[in-house]
Amino acid sequence: METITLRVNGRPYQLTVRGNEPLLDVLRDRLGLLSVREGCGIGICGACTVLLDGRPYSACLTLAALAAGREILTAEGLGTAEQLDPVQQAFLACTGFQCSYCTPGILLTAKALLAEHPDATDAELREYLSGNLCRCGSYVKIVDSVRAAIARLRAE
Amino acid sequence: MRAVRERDAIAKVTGQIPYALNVTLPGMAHARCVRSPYAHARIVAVDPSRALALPGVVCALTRDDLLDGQLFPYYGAAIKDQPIVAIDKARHVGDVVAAVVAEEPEIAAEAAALVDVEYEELPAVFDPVEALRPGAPLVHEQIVGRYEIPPNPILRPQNGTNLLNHMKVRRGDVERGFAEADFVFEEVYSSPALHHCALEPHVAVARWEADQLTVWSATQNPYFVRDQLAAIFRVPPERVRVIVYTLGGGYGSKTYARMEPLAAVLAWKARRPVKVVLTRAEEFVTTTKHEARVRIKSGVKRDGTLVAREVEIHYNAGAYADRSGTIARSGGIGAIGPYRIPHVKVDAYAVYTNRPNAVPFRGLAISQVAWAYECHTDELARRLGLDPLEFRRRNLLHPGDRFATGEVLEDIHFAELLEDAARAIDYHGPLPAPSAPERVVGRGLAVIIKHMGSNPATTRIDLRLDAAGALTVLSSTVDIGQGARAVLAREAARALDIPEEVVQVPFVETGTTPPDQGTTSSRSTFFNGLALRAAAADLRRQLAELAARLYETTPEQVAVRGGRVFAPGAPAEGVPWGALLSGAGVASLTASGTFGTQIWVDPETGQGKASHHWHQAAAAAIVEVDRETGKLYLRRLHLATHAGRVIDRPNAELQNEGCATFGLAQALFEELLFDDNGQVTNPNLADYMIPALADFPAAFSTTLAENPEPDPEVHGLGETGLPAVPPAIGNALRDATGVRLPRIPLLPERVLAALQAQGPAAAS
Repeated sequence: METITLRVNGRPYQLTVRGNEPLLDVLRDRLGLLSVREGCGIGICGACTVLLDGRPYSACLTLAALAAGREILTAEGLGTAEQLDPVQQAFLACTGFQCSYCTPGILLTAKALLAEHPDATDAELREYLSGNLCRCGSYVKIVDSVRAAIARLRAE
Repeated sequence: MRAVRERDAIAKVTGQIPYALNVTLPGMAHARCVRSPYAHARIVAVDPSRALALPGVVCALTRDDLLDGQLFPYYGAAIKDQPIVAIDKARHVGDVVAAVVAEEPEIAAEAAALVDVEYEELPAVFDPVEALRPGAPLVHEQIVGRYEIPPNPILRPQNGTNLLNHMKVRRGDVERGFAEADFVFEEVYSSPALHHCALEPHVAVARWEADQLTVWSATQNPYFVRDQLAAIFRVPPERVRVIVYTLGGGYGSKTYARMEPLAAVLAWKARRPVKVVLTRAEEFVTTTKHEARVRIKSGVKRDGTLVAREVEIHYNAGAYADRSGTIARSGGIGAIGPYRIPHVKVDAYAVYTNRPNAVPFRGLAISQVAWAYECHTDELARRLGLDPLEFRRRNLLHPGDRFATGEVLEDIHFAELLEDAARAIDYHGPLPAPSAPERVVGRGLAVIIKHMGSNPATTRIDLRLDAAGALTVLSSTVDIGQGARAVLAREAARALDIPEEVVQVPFVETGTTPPDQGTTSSRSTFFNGLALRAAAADLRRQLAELAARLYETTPEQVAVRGGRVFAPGAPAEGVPWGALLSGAGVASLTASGTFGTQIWVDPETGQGKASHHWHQAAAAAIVEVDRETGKLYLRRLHLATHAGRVIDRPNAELQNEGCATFGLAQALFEELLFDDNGQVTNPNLADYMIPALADFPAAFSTTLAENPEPDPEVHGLGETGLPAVPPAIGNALRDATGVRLPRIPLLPERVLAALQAQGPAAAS
């Protein structure tokens, strides 16, 4: 067990964690951040994607102890009902989801894409988001949503 | 104030929409199953003592707990043949043999490995055709007389065999039809077992308070689960409450009772709340899609008129019956496709095997037969030297035609849907050029018919209006991601002529939200719309009566519109409903509406009325095939469905898009694999492929066909489009290469082997 400080959604949390404790369990079970969801548990599906210093990681494969000192962002920190992030607004406008179990991970991946490749082409967008699986098959509208977010970013 | 649609959407993009997975209760313990490593084994002894000795373990459940008569130990969607934990035998690899409850999930997992089970391995059978041969190992030694079977004339299991159900369709005289035909052609097609793979696993949380049981579950059938639980505990259904929030995907896997019986029994034994969450690997042995083998034979006249079709289907039901009886029925009825064929003979078998349970899967029963009949129909045309589109045109069902069931079909649009699909890919135009010299391009079409809501079914919806003017829609329809709650609010607003924003839709809770058969079979939007209409009429009547009383007039003199009542003596601008209730001293009004369908077919002939109306779809695909690697690239996909009336366009499109995604994955790569011992060998998302964005064609389009007349009947879209997609792709492969693969998925190695078998000369 070791005591670490995690910075999650801009707030510091002092926690005692096991060395092998996944970040997913800490965020979800201890901090109550229910947008972070296990899908496959092996880093394939992207449902548990969170941003560490702006880059997407699977929280199921990331050890909590190794996330100490980094800026962790979950969907809860992306925006709230009263103040949605532009990416959330774009998904809302395009209905870019169905059951939405995968949606927080997709939103965060899209957020990282926008920061990393604000001029992403459709091909780059499709490639970048292919690590986030949507079993409902909402891909057409996920692409529409991310395109809308990119267009909005360009307009600003 | 925001409409339900927007409120739910905001909750979804902020990650705040509730799932059963989120439920945590004070004192809650966690369960883990002990599962059979054998496909078929007699259980000699179960000893949980080493598990119970582990610190943090609360209790263990074994067959001993089920045999003292306190509990009814079985459950099941039709035949109650599935024990809560195995009693005499384990019937598939992964069958639940025992379960442990512990303070933490990790402790439960460790303890489950310490339960000692002594097995005596038995010969197993995995193939549905082999399972019907005399002398095959019996999955259940006795069915009739041992298990509870609902009185249902179309469900006829046979003792001493593995036959769970046999559905027959007989129309005309198929032998005479073949004799009259100029060309008779027979093929066999097959499709593999699949896994639904909802990203949210099966979850159930159970809590007993005195003699009241509450279960939070991710289920598509809350009332069904309630009744099954009540039967297990031998209590009235009112003592069981099932609460359902949003489902993190279902696709058929969360139908009927899955983990709820185990969770409830564990909570009963542990005397504290218990949560059951399946691991991803457990998911793969809990629900699968029916593997199927379809033998199809057609007789056709020289002019391209179909005169006879014979189909024999073997659905692999796995170890427990679940809904397989209905699957044989529905698949049998749909097996000839949307064609006008005078002489028809269909035999559909659902067969027990030692495979994991096969349960409803999006495209229920039809995707298996459509893969066969649409490839076969295409092949038939090509062998006759006819264009596959033209061949279909000559034989498609049109309004007023009789289907295989003898019923006259109206409101059918197969021709329009097929033409729409053909147009979308420029069927008569030149094919796009291949992107590399070793590649070839081809196009394919498919058109399908699918039943809705396979049983006589009833839906009730209640509307509650309170004195503040808020309208609450009480419905037990579950939001699986299709936006059911939004549709309820929108349709209620439409039926009552009020803004969507004043409508509330609470989550499902049995006892509070009214009884419903379930959110399955692409039936909910249709059933709910008509039940809502009846409920709205009831509410309008009650409002008119209330206004008549208050303003001393007759209900006929009262107009109800736009959220107000207008009556002689009332203010000219009308009285808002809330003010009317307050003025009359009435706290609330509750109105009720029901809608039901009556359908029935003769199991010996398949004649009758098999569906209230029929789902209809057509797909078109353009593929590019690499002749050196066998890899198939989907360049263009179009999916057209008959929607009747579109209520929520983005969500309706999402259903078609979801069906397209499922369909292309089934065509190209999805397949549940087993070793010779019946063990799933790809029970994880690294080895079992589900489609990613990169798999979805950039060039996709979809049509939602609507009827022009005012207020047309709404058709469900949840499953409609799926069955058309794999054969459209298979037919495009045939068009591009000349290769006809009878089995999906169309893996590169299979395509390559077929190309090599063709020899170098035989390109398309």
